Amino acid sequence: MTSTQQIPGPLSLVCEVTHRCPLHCVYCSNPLVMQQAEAELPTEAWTRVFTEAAQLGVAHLHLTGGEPLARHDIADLIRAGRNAGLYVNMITSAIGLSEPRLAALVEAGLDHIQLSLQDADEVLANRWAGARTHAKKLEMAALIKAQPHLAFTVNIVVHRQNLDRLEEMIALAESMGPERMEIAHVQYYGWALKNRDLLLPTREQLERSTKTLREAQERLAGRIHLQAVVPDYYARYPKACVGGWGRQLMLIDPAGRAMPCHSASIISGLAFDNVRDHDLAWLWHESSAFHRFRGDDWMQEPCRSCERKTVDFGGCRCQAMQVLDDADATDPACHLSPHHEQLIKIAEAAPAGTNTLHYRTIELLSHS
Amino acid sequence: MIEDLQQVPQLARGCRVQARSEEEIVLLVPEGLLRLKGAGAEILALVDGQRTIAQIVETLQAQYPPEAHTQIATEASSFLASLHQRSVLLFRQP
Repeated sequence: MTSTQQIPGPLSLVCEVTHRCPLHCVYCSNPLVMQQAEAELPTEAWTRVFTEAAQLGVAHLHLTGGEPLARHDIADLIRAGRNAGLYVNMITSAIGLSEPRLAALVEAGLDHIQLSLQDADEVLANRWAGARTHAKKLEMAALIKAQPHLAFTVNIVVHRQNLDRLEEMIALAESMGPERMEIAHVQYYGWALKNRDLLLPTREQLERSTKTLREAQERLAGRIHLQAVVPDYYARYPKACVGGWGRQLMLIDPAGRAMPCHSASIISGLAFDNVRDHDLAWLWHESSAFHRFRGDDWMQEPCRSCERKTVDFGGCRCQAMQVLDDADATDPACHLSPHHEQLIKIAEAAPAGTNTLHYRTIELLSHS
Repeated sequence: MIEDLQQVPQLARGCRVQARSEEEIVLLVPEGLLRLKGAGAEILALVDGQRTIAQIVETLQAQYPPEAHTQIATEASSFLASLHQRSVLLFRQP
């Protein structure tokens, strides 16, 4: 293990400022057990965190949740982030947004807003979100489009139930006026794992969508940057999850726990330190959770001797934990994993699986 | 490569240049940051939503001896084209 002092600071700080959310997405990848409102960090604590983050070398602050707009002080948080010298991004459902509130967020210094799109069809979009939000999003998108300095990304969340309408979804997203579009396959963690059999796309669907994507990328080049990620279960190599454990990203949950990724709490034996007790530099360099999979000492074969270990860092620890019950194993999404077959079988068996969607209901983590 | 040098480049919404330290100048964009090495910062300083690509290249060339002009033209336009490709830089007609 290299000396902790030689490790550069993170570039991104993801702050889940609340777990409160008006949506009940069938593919929510947040943890099943959430932090309740009373446990949330107050404005002053977040402000201190942002200042320490900038000193540590963070460039981007991502305000997310839950729904960040559920916090009454969201404009103050944005201002605090900008004052600290950070680039401020907010990921929102637009529920809770209005013309004056958007103006206040922009005035506070918001650089970038990300809005997700669930489907091209209103009834279906509301079904996947578990809430009537589609029309409101389009209404808010028109206001965002008119903002001269605010960057705008539309995230299209795809899965088996909507992937065949990708072309229509891209056309709708285009009409919303963003500079960026991201096609994101559902990540099968948290709530989404419960619905995996209904949400995993088939291989045929995926092949058709790849063609649609390429055509759209060509058509939109120079106007809208379209990014797409291959879903894990059909990839040849795993994703470089969070850019490598404890390498680029730090996440703070609503209660102030510092984590290397937002699902990390599913890995047994990890203890998370809190920004209430430590500064960010200490958390990054000393907190045991950040050391757990940093570097390559923890790796098993085939990762340990693989030349790609500095490219994808063994893939996703949470996926190894979830599928193989071994957080140190090679991500089974990798075709070199001895358990890769297991993932393929899950993917192939999925379409024949259950037909009941499980909607996200809130299970709160109690603080005694 | 850029065909029409009369287009006017402009940074897209939410993209801004920031000095992270005296040595490190970066272009902050929604999905990350681009470290501006060499002439990168110099070229971007000339992107003001008014100058055409041709004017930006000429302004740069005027600061260097003639034997460097061809290289400057090539490098500046390929730099601008790569940012345009990522939708960080938008091109409009004057």
